[in-house]
Amino acid sequence: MSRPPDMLQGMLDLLILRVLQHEPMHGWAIGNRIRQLSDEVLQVQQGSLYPALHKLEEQGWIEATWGESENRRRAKFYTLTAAGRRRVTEETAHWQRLSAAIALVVRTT
Amino acid sequence: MRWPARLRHRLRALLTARRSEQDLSDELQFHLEAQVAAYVAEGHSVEAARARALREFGSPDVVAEQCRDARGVRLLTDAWRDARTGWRAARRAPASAAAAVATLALGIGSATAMFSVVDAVLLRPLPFEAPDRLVRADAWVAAGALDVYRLQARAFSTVGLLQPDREVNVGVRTEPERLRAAVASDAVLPLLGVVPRRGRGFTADDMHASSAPVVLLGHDLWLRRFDGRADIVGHAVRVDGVSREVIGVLPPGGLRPLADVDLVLPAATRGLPPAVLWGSTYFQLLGRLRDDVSTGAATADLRRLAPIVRDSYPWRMPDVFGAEVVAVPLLESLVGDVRPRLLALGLAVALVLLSACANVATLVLARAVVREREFAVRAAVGASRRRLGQQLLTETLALWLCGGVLGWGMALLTVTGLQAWLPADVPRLDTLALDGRVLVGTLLITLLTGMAFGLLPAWRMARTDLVPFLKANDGGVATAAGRQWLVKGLVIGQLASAVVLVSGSVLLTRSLWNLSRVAPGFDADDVLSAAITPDQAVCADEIRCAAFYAQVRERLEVLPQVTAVGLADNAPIGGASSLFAIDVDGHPVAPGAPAYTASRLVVTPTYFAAIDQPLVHGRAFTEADGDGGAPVVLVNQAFVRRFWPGQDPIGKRLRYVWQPVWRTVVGVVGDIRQDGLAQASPVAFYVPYGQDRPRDLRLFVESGMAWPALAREVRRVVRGVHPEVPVSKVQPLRGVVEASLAGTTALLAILSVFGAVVLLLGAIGTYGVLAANVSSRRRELGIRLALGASARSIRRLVLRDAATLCAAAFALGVPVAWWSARRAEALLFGTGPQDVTAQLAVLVVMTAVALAAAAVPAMRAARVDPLRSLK
Repeated sequence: MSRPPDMLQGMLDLLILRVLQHEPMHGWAIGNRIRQLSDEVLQVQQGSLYPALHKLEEQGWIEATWGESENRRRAKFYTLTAAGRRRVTEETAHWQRLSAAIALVVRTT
Repeated sequence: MRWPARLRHRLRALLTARRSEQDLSDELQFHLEAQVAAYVAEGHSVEAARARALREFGSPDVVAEQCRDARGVRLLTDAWRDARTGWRAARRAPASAAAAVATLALGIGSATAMFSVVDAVLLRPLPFEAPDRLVRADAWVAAGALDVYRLQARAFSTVGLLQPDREVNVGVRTEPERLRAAVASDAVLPLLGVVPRRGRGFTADDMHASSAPVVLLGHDLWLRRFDGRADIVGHAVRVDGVSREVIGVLPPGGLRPLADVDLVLPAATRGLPPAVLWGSTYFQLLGRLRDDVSTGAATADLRRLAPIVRDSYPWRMPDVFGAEVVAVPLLESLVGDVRPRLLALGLAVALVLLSACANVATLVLARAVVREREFAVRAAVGASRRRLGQQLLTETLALWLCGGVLGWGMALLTVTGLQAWLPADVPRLDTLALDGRVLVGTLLITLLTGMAFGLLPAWRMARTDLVPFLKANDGGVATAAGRQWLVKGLVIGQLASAVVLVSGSVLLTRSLWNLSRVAPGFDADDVLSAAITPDQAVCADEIRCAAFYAQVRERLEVLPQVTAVGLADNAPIGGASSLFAIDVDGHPVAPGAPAYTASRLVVTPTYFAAIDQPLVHGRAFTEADGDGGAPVVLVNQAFVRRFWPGQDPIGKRLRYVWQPVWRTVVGVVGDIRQDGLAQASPVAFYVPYGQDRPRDLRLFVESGMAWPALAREVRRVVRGVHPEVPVSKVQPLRGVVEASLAGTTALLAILSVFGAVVLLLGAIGTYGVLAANVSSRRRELGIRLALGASARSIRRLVLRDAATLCAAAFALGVPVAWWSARRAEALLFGTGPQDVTAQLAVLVVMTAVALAAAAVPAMRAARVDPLRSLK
């Protein structure tokens, strides 16, 4: 279970933030949603997910509260903070520029 | 903007550690359960689902570890854990840990104490308003010059005159007290920002000589002598025979550190005859700079005004008068003199600190060797070398902090002793305190030295390959040698510090020895000295003054066991010598050139007999000279050498520049080291009492009586002649001579103590290195002995090691000692870094210590049993 390299880590952060844009979720649900939305391509392991979640919490983009899950179990829910909302907009724009640039390079070479 | 939130988050994570751990474990557990439920929902059986989920999940501990990393508090939790490990390790070897903490406490404690002195004296700003804008001229100015400066100086917003160390009689009805007073112009208090606690300060009217006499009381005097009474303003106090009205009380700090006085008198700058205004009272010039003016501009301004001041004098002053005046920032002018001495002490303390740290670092390294097994096991279980190094560093820092705390306690205990121990002429010592600034300084010292010296063992630990330690019983020879190198380096550093300090002590000892053998020019044995200070009530005119002193002399001379009684207007040594401008026969001075100066002493005829100052030529004074005889003077040999070398001085003449009367030289007396034993004798002339009549005189009584009894008699006699005359500064003359050596003696005492401590630490370090060396070379020594080497040659091996350490220490220490002796030349007398005897003495001391430290290891080496060591 090694830590993902920084670029993948950056992408994971963005994915988590995007997923949380719509509603608060607990850790497993976030990983599940990413898997669903990406058509099973991106399978996030808990060894990457939870360190990423804790890091985002420490950085202040998301905040955590303990609540009740669907099947009435105690779970830790994450929500975006105000700063987190601003961040996700910035990061999405940044990612779109980056991927467009990469697509250009890949297409022309 | 996010930093406060992040910091809060980290702090919270730190403080609620246990609950955070529980939360994390709950969260991961929840994830596992959710994954199992998902697999079950897909159709697997519960057991299969669980098995698959667990397999995918991996080790929860590693995930948890990474989460903890992400939370950003690992550094602190690791540090806490390391500190606890270190505490357990220390308990296994308490003697070693205690020795380390004690040594560190010694080093850090003395560094703290020294730092508090340096802070109080040199660093802390003065307690006045905007103190960095205050300057003082480095020359004395006459009272009449104040108006010139006040009206025409461009660089200053305010100027004032201050005389900080007058002495006055303050008397009510009973025994009058001799107290210290300052004389200040009206602008001084506002200039400094000192506001009277009660009443008011001086006004311009108070500066006039004929206005009603007033006085400002110091806070302590008000409490002590007047019980802090609320109606003190308007009260009358008798100062020097004049009744003065109290117009105010100063706040508790008063004018300290500029003037440590009991009361303040107004300076008379108007309404006096010009001769008095310009000739008899001299003041310091204080100024507050305007906002945009620098000290250099102030100096330029003072020099610009110098010719104007010069021309305002009622008589002709030298053309170059005031051309070299300098405006010095006030703090600098107060402490500039003592800075070299404090820095020398600071260097010594720094060496003690470094030596103590090196010693403890050696101890830590030695302990690390013993714990190698423990570290090797930890490395095998997965701890990285960096992690182990981090652990060692944290343990060492914890040790350093313990030493720092203990050292702080030590400094708290010794700071009062320090105030008494340092010589009294160090200014601002009364503000010495261990406050927040010193605490910050101590923390910095502790952390910096701890990091610097703690990195050494940590770095070694991080670089060593630990696997051999799991296998062999003692370390491989290669690593042992590498470690030895570091330890040897530390020991050499300690010995080099010892060389510097011992060298300093030896040089100071020689200086003191030289100084004590300097003949002061008089015999201080069996002479009691006292200051007699009658004021206007007793000495209303000169006749009455002379009669008073004549009576005192007569009554003292008839006492049993009193051999001689003499009076003079100053002490032969240590008193501030007053310089007088004179004209000398045969040495005409061009108009506008500076006049010759010499120090003057007014004496009674028996003065020379009382202090045994020899008469070298001609005749001494007689009673007739004082009673209206022809004006005569005596000169000292230095005077003759300066002005009439090779000629007979009898019959030559001199006079004060402001008097037309020529005085004839009738005799020559021996030189006296008036400015201190280290300075050459100044050019001096002696006037008989009667031809000049200063009011305050010093009494010298030569007698075989024990001095406390003699002191009582003197007081009794003076009180009997006139009860209102205070007698002060009663002490044996020998005490006055020794006081002039006080500074050097104190410095030597402190330096010797430090030198001894560092020498001891160096000796212990040397012993440790040599002993470790011997024990790690057991096999080699055993082989040598088995092959027939004599015990003596084995001992010589060890001694040679010791000699190498010593030589390296010399190579390192002697240049530093030489450099610091050059910088501190002002503190030495008759010796210097080139003094061969001193260097030899240091060599002898160091070699002796090194040999003593090597003795036991050498003997043990020779006694190694070859059979046992070869097994």
